[in-house]
Amino acid sequence: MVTRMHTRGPDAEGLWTSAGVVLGHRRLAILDLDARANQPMVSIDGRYTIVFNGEIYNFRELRRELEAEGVAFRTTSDTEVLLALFAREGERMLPRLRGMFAFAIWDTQSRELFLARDPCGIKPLYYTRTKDGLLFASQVKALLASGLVSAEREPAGLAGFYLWGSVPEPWTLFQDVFVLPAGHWLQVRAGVPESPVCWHDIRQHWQGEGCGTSAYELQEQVRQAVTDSVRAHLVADVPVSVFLSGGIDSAVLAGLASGLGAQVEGITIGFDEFAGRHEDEVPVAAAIAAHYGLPHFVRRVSRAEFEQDIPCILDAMDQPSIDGVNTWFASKAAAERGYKVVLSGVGGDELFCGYSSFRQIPRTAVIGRAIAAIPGARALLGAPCAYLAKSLAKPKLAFVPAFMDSVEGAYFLRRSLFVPDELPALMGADMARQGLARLGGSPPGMTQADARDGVAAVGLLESTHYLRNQLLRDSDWAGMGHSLELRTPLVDAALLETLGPYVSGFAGGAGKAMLARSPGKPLPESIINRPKTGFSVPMAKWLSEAADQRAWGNLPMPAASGTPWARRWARTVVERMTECE
Amino acid sequence: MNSYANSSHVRPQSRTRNGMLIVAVRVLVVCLALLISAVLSIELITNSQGLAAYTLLLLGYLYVETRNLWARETHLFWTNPVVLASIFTFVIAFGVTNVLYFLPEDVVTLVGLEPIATPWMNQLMLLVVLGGISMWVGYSSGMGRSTGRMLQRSRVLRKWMSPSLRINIPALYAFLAISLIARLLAIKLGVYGYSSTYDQLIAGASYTQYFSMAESLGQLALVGVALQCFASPRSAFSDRQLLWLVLGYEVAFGFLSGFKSAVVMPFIIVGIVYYSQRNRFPRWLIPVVVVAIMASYAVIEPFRAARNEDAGFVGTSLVSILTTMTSANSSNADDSGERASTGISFLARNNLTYVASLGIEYAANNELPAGSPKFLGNIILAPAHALIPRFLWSDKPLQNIGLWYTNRVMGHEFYSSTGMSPFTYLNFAGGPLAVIFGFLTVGILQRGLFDGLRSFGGGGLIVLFGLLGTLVIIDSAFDTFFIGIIRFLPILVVAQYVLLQRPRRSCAE
Repeated sequence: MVTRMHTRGPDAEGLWTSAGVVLGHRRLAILDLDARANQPMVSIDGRYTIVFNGEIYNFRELRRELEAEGVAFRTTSDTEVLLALFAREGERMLPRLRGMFAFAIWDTQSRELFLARDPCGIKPLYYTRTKDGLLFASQVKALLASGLVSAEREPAGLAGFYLWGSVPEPWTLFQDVFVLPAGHWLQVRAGVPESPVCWHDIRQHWQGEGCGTSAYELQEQVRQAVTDSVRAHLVADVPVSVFLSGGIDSAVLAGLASGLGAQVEGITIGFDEFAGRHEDEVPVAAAIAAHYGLPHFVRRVSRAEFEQDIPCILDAMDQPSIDGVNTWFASKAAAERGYKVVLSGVGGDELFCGYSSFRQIPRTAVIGRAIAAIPGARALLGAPCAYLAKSLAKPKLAFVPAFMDSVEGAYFLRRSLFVPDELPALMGADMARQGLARLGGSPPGMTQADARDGVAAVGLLESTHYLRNQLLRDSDWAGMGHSLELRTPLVDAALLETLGPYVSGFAGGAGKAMLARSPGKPLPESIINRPKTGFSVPMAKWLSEAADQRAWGNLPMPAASGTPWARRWARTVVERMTECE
Repeated sequence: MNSYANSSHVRPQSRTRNGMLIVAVRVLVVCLALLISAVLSIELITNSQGLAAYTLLLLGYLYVETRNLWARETHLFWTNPVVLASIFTFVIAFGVTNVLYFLPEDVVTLVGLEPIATPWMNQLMLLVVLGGISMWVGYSSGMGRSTGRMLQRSRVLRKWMSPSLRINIPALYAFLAISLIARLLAIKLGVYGYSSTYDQLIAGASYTQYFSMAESLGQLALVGVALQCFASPRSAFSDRQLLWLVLGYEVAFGFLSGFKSAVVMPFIIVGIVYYSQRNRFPRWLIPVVVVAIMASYAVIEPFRAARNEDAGFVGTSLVSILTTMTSANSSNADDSGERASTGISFLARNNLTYVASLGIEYAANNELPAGSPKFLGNIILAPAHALIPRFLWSDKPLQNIGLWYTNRVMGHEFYSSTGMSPFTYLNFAGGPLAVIFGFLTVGILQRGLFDGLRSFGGGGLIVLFGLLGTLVIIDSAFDTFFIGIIRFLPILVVAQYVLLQRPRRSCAE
């Protein structure tokens, strides 16, 4: 299992065994590079042993506090602080941690295992029960490598992947493997896991009463909170770089880091297919780097390299995903430059309402409710929508009358990849039926967007679905595939706690404008006003021209006419991953 | 008396069933329009598909409404304002001409339009569809019918309206003389048609409206002459001669105005009058209008280009205008630059989707700056604007929203007026609700005036046809719809009283 995770931690490998317990760890040394800080780490009194994946950004403050209370430390790592804090406070210490983390602590005395995961779900933690006890790891593939886990498909995981493009928590692609949900801890006694306990549900930040404040005060709040988060995320004993696209989020991170005195290098990937077009982020990124006086590295990626890397990408991709190729190449570029840590602007769109979905989905839901309020209208529209779905090869259209009148439904229509009716053709009728039944909900796999208003509801859904299940998971496998730690200053529980009450005021571009003005030297207006492009890769073109058409053209597809590349890629990923197993 | 009874041309047995059906159609169209908006919002269809869907929905809906009306009521069908407005304000400006956006990119770019469908065009189209439904709902409503009955029973109208179809020849010449003097004077003062300048129009703001009223007496004379000509199955030679004379006069000044619509409109007026009297569609009208359009393009477009490019152009001299017009046409033959075909140019000229959508985008992204028109206020104050002369109201707002649109919304700095469409105007005034209520009112007034006026014989038709332009081509400055009706209705009543011979009272009366 540990070997399977080699790229996650090439700097050191450790195993700790005790009666009935084995803890293994691979280390990517970032804080306290000395071997003393290797893991598994045992507490001074020998009672607790920890394996920890992630970073605690406020570990120095916590350490000072503990030292003031007489606790002694052997290293300058965050792992030892975490261990000492748990020894004193148990699970009550969790809300005090600022960072991304998934860890396990074995209590030799009580013979209990404590597992916990950060509130936003940045770091993954999977577990499974076997006949001999419990296995856990940062990767599903590591659990499979044990040879103790059945590779039987989980219908809900597969159905969820086809519906959403990523496997929704708490499911995985395998029947016996589960995710410890974000913001939860889990106690394991005598090899038997109890029910996960939620210690921080980030949904609360979009619920309850919102706060109103003046634009100036809110700007100051944003400036302080984001600066504070970037400062926290710069804590490292190795050089830090930043993914620099042409967007506001990464530019702000670069600007703030620069303002805080960090000499971060901007890493940008460019594609010949985008050269001279609006999607080409290289010139904009170069302009941003020059604006802040930062070194800038541009890495060109070609279709040939993509084709060559496909096996590596699919190997690193722990659970199937339709995204992450962009992060894979950006991480590769950073790793080639010798970096172990990079700041990523992921999460900025979810917190600061950067997606068009923040405007579109509430509007759609309002329109949908208006239509649904007309007696018989929903039934009246059923036939034309079904006809259009078929004739335009857009299966989602058939579900519009059913789902249009709620934010959740509109979100499903906007974000989903396939629709429930297509699942039997993709995964077999029985599997599809079981999968949909286990996913539950309407639309399937959706949580209720119980929020203070439409904008907040979209923020909640984007953060707990798309960000958590797709973007953060992709960031983890794509980064760790190159032994690179991706840090996400804009996905931070402390930041969310501060700005959560104000998120509804970020709609319509206000949030991004405030973010853009956060650095001491604000972004140029040309960058602020540049139309959003996303962090995209010419996948459609690459795949359509790929020499190996198994990856693309020859796949039988439901509703094939004009099928978006992501749907074909999804099938490719599942088929290839199945071949690899 | 040639009276009109509301039920005489209606088949009441089908009314209830048709009524239910049309209500269902309207509900379905509202639902479909909202549905298109919803699926566009979440990007399930592209903007081009959305535009195509809205266009087809609009055309389909208007077809169903007009077919339904045709099935119930054929009398003066093609002079019915709601039918003509459906064609001119909706089908032409936002329907068939939308085909432009599906033509090759270079063709669309050549005529200065956006080669792709934008989200704002689709938002505009939603308003257009809602406006269309509202207009027809207003037309079919009890309020529209009540307004019509109220006009039919009006003692004032009964007293003043002449049912005669014979014109008073001295009055006809007086009308033509007044309009000729007004036009020549307008040219002399630099406020005539395309030859005018912004500064001269501003300077003459207090009297230009009276000039345009006087000029329109020519069109009124044309209506009267055509009525007399087509009243009997075989028109007299003298009547035909008179008709050609007045028609030629109107067309000539149409060319001089530099507005293509002013060239085509006299033929349409004659055609409409023909239809109203013979109760059959004048087939000759179609080729005549096509030729008139082509001729107007051939003459007016080069004239406009020359007028804008020639710094020495003098718009206050009839001779100068004529010289520019003829020289522009001869020099135009040498112009070998890349130009769109006349057909494409015609489509582009008549399509408002892209230009109007710019205002929808502007309203969504901007607060109206200081000095912007008071869109809602102008509608509310339309009666005052119509009735109070400028010399009594020095601060009376100028009708320069087209210039404001060019400068503010489109970002051009030159003096040129751009039609934003009534939908964009109403969206500025109060969003979709304003569009709905605005066009509901339009429909009510169309029904009221159509039912009310056509019952009064020749005089009623003159008033109706005099108002037809206002009722059919809903102006970009939406408030002028009300101003036009309030201002012109009494004038037209007086004009028909003067123009038409009074019937001799019979002994029985």
